[in-house]
Amino acid sequence: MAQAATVQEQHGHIADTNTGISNRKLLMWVFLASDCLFFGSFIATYLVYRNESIVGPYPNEILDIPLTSVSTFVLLMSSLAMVLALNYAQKDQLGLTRFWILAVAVLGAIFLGFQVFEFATFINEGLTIRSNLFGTTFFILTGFHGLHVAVGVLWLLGTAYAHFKGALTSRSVEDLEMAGLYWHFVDIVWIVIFTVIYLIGFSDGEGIETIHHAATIVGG
Amino acid sequence: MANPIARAWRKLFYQDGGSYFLLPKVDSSYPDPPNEGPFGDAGPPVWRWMDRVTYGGKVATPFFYTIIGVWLAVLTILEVYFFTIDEFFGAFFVTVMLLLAVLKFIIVVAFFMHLRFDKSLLTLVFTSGFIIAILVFVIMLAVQGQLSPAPMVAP
Repeated sequence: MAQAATVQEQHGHIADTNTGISNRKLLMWVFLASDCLFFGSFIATYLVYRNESIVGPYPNEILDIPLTSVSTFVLLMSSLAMVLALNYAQKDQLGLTRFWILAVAVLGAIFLGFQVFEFATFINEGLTIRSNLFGTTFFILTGFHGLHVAVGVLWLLGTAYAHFKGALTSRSVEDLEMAGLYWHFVDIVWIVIFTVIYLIGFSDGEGIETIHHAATIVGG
Repeated sequence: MANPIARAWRKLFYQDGGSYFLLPKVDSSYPDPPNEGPFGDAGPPVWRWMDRVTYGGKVATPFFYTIIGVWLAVLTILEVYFFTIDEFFGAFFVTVMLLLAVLKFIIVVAFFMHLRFDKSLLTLVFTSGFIIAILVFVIMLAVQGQLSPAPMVAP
């Protein structure tokens, strides 16, 4: 009984809706489900045009796996920091909540820094969004992911500001939970991108089939 | 004996108590036990241990989440290590990498996003979007000829 009471205290009151779930939380999950389609389309587009570039730079010449591994690690740890922030908010330990929210924002900003560095390096080495099919699909996919991370960082900084102003208390833990769901989603999208584009796609090179196909058309 | 198709239809769509998918009518008919989530009670003992130490995930300790974070870090390190020895896996390299990514994906969604411990409706909502995304993904690759063994030939 005492355990049930503790669970109830930590989890907040049950929402007064037909589903027992607050409308905001349900809507956030619907949004995340639709965002799956958004990123799924971009990842599919990347794979469709994989190995189709007829001019360089190609993935095997330009992708930096050690650098991206570190940034992936940073984003994963930011997810851990996020869940810790929510956990402390649920336990009404506001000092630790503030610390971990700021930690998430800082780790997110570090991830963005890695991405800006990577983009700048690629552009210096001749890969832009207009260079080839790899450049177009790569920058669109990772750029939109970076945009999501940037929105998340701003959201968390806003939440932290509200927290310092005293607007966020243990009664409005759901605000933080929404930000957390969004942040974790950004993390799982990167898990897929890192594996599919960086680790599996690293060996991609020149689009041999495309060159043969083009030669057939030109040669009649 | 009823027509098997009619019986399957009844099992799938009827709401007379004997169907597979009973739609909840009121709040109390929604299941919310500690084991609610993507895997139900079908997990290995370590998951049941997690349920016990976290009171169904709702009063999880920072230590519990840190363990999950360490597991994610270990899986990432494994991924990068496997990448460096990709010849060892040969044709199975892509499968191994995708399995590791799926494992990390499930861990984050189930524990950090609390789907394992939350109402099953949320799992249904997210999984629906994810499945549609996968379908779009597969159809797009199939239409472009990426899934067929021979490349598309221009007319």
